[in-house]
Amino acid sequence: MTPNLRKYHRRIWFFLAGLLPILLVAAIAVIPAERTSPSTPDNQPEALPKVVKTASSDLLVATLRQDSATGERQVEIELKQALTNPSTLVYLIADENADPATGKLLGSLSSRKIYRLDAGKNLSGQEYLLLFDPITHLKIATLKL
Amino acid sequence: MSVNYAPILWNRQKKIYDRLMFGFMGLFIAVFIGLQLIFYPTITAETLIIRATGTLAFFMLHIILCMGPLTRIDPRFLPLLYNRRHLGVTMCCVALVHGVFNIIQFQAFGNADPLVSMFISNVNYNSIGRFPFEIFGFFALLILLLMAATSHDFWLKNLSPKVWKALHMIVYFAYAMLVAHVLLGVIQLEKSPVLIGVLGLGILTVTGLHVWAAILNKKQTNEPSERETEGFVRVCAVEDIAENRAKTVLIDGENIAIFKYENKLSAINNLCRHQNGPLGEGKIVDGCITCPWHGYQYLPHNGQSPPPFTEKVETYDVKLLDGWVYVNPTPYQEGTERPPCPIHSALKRLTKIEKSDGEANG
Amino acid sequence: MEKQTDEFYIGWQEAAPDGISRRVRMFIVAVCVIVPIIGALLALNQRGFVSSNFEFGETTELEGALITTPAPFLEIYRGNDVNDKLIFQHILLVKPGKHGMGEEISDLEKNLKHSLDGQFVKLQGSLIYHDGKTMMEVEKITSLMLDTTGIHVMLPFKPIGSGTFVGEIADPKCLFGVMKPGYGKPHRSCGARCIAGGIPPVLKTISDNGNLEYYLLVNEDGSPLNDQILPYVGDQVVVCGEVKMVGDWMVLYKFADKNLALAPETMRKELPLCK
Repeated sequence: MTPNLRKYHRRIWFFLAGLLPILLVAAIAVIPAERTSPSTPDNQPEALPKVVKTASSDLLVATLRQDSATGERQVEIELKQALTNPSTLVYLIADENADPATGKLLGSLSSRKIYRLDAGKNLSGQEYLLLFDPITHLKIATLKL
Repeated sequence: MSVNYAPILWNRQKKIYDRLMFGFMGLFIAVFIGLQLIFYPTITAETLIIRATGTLAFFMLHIILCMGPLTRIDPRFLPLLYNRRHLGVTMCCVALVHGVFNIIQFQAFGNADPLVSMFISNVNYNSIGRFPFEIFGFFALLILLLMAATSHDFWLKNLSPKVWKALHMIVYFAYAMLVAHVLLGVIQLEKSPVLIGVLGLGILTVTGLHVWAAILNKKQTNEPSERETEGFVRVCAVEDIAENRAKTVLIDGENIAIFKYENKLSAINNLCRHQNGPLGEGKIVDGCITCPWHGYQYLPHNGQSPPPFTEKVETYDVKLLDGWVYVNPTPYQEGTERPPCPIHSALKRLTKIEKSDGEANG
Repeated sequence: MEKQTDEFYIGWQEAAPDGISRRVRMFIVAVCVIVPIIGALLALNQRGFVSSNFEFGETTELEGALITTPAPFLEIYRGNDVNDKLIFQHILLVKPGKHGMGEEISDLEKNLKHSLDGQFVKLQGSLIYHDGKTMMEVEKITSLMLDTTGIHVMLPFKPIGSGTFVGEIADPKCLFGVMKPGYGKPHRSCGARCIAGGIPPVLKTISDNGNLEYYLLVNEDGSPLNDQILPYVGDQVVVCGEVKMVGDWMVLYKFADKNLALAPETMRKELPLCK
């Protein structure tokens, strides 16, 4: 390497030895913090007062609630994980292998949060909760309530 | 050395070098992709390719940039330099895959030309954190491509080693841009202290080695200021030069290597005509001064490469006086034959006695 | 160099001298150790990828009613619940590449000389879905039925509250499956290109309990705000507006008199009041 190139080489690296650490510190300083949102509207109905049963799986926690005065039942579903299928309907079915068409449609699920779905009054107490995907026709989860 | 241009002149060392290079690349890819698929199986193929090639290319660039200073700190690392161009071109190819996949993934299939999109999609040029980091990667890739395209000896010869070397020094700016590309890009998302630590360690290693080598090199530069009679300048004592080796000296911008061999002294220009390698750090092998970088050879008494090769360097007059080596920094035309200065055994003995007396008295 | 041994390396010779070989072997051993360590550190210290899906190359046909505002949706009737309330699923529609569906619908409406809002259609395309949100990359409209005697009954959009929302602007197509990750700084340009191409923007927020919510962002009058939001794609912003449920999607209607702003660092103390 010619003496001149060697000199430029030396100057470049002295310059970079100063610049790169500054860049590193500056870049760390501007890493954006994860901010939570103050507003999270909840469009779910109030939870009925009495907990009748609770069941859980890796995907969800299901709680059967009841209003003792009116006899109204409610299924509360807390999703523990994000859903990985294109569509999720919630049914109550009479037995574990029953077809969703024979069951009672309670509602649909979307992003990970707590859902409260009306289940009506006429429950036998032996129902299964079924999460069914009408697009792929797959049973996502079946849970004894 | 070659007389005619050929794509690659393969030899055993180059083959070993390339096998090791591809072996290490394979190891990196296997570890990176293997662990990704085990621990993050939901990753998409495009992201996997982008991240694997990006990290591999940047890692390879770190290794490449460490080689130069390592050889200046310890010449035993010189074999690393021998086929560095293959490593550079391969790294550029890996970086190109990263760049092309990124442009297709993030900029293509929209309502603007992909290359235009890169410049107009994020226009926060006045912010550090929001800066369009892709720009740094794009220009760094252009530099790497320019270097890879001109890496062959054809360009080296036609551009001249000085211009070629200067051109290839812009890789340092490419490196700085790639550091910015990573810091203002993926680090802003991933935020991992380990990733930042690895990058910091990389920066420290590369800059540390370069600064260390530069300081060492400056210390070792022999620049005598005293001008002696008849244009000759005193360089060193004759026994300071090892047999078949040289002493280099910089006088009025002339970079001179004075070789001692077979009881003779000869001086030639220190810059190899191939890549301006330091001939003075070379050795006389089979009667020829051999460049430490790529083994180009020159005859000491006339600075000419032995036939059929055609490279030539300038020669200089050397004289020996009272055991001291003197050189005249006025160069003779490249390839001009100059009679070597003989070293008389009596003179050598005398110098040794004088020196040892001096040391005893001191 | 001062430190010289008699060993000398010449690349074109068959073998390197022993001392030099030993030093290079040390380097090779060091690289052997460093390469897997660096590879592992870089691979294992990423934040991971969500379980979103893009059924690339897989075609699904769906039928339902087309909704054109506030964004193109396919509204699919799923049955009645125990209170006889109609249950619908809303699938957000986009085109291949970085393009929204709005332009194609407008062109079609111009040709047909009537609105397509509420029309029964069959669509073919690839599904994109994550966290209960589903989209379709529409390849073609296979059937456009002018007879509207189908089961569909357009639901009124239900307001569920208003306030200040803080989150990241992203494009839903990438966010819900086409790219991983489909948010954050590396994805910023892509998100801007998608939103510039007519894909409705989404505000991705995180609540105190860690739940993610996604709001489709539109102007107060329901018109797209894609162009004004472009400089903020990938940024954390503050949006003031009213949220309405459009089926299973939350749509944030940004108040006309409140501008978007970058979220301040110490958010809660400095948040502009929307009321």
